[in-house]
Amino acid sequence: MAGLRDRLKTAWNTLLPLALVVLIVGPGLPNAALGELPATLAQWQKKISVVQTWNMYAPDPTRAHTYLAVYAEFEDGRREALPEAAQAQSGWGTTWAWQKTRVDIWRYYAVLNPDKPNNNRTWYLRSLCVREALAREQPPRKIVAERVRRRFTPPDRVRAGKPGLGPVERKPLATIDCKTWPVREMLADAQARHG
Amino acid sequence: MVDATGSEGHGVGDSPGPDGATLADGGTAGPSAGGRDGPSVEGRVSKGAGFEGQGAKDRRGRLARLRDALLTGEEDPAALGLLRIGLVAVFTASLLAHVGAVAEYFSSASPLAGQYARQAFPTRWSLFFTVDDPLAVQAIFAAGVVAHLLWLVGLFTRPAALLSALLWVSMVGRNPLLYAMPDQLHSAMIVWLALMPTGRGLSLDARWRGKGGPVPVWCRRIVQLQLAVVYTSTGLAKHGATWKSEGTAIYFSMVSPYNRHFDLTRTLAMLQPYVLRPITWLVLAWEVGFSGFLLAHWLRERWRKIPDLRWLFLGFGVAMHVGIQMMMYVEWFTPLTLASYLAFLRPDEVRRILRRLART
Repeated sequence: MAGLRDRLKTAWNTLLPLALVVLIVGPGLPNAALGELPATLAQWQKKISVVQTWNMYAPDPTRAHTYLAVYAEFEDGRREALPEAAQAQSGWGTTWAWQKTRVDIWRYYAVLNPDKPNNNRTWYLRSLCVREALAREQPPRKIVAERVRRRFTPPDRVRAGKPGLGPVERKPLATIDCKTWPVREMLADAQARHG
Repeated sequence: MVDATGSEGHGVGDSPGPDGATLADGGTAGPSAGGRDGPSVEGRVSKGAGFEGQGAKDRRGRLARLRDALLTGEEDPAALGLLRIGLVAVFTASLLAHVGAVAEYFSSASPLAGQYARQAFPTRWSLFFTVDDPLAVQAIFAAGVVAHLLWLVGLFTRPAALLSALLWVSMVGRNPLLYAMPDQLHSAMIVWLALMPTGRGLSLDARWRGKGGPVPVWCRRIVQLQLAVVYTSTGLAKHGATWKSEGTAIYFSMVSPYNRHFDLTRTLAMLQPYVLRPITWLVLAWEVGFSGFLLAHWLRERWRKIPDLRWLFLGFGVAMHVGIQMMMYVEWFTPLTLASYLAFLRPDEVRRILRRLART
């Protein structure tokens, strides 16, 4: 019995680490050499939110910072700046952990790829329709987003006397109609839940 | 395992005893010896055995010896215990930073909830796609905090670890856009660590419940490997001009208002040619070279002529991460990586540190 237990233990302590090595190294291996295996492994691990894509500050750190500025438009023609717009206005100084929330990370993803469709942005703006409708008497009709960007001045130009950040550049990003599918249904669900 | 030379992680020459302890030193090992971590466990882990030719003659095949050396050999649990304490302390702090926003992030009180949350993140799994009542989500979160604390002190370690990992995976899966690269390392580490027997050393399970005992050598190696994959993959992906010809990557990283702690643009620009550019290249070389360091570290256990590069490589890593933490907001990345470095401490070194701490 003890012999069997030892053999099982040895098998476990051999197979489990080997499986973990495959899960850690496998997704990073080139698809060309291994067919679909790395991509399949990555997809499978993504299900449990274990992702092995490591590319911090790669291939280059960003040379500009972009904020998502968002405005709510109402039936009566009013246009109101949401907290996102205030951040785009004042967020050019310094940052400490206590000034950040996890929603800042979502906003960062939402503003990526401004010239391409971006699902993360679409869902963020849809969720703003719900957030703003629940927060006030009159729900917004539209949520309008723009990209607010400032480039970082290269060090040689800063040494020559230029400011560290370039001028503010604004560009329309997306508009979400809060009365169309699926936002209308999201809002109805949320209102039902919140009574 | 600890051998006479103080090298780490070898089961070569050992044969497992009745309760999984190694007996190559001829010591006694049995259920009665497994009740505590401390000298008794340390003594059970083949002090005299180690490399081929040391200790008892191993008559098994080369493959079995290689398997033992790499994976199934056993070591004193103190090192894995300390690694558990370090990593779980960071996991717990990161978890507690969610307090106050749990319902808003993960329950039906979120602006993105129900079937729409599932539509937004179809590739993910989360318990909170199924259970989304705000009170229930907060109760699960609270249970997860308790599980983290139990895991930290090593009480009911295995279930606590699995529950902790389940909670974290569920939080990230519910809305992965609330999480960034540092959290990605958290996710990987918490899942791998939950699969390891982390409660056998420096734990209440070992002291009170008789669950102490040696641990397989693969555990710390998996954490080491994960770190090497993080660094080397990132290093290889850094093929842009700012990392290579220009050497301005660190400058641009530190002037971003998104995460800079101080606005030192002018000073950084002055330092760029003489300080930041060489550091940029050094960081890149260090990251790419980390896998080579790990390989050398593993080979050193067999060939002692290879110098111990831990203090050089990990020392540089500590300085780099502390520097990053001082200059920039990077979530929990620095504490997480530095806690992971504990995986490079050998059990005998951990015991020495603990003895020194006990004396003071």
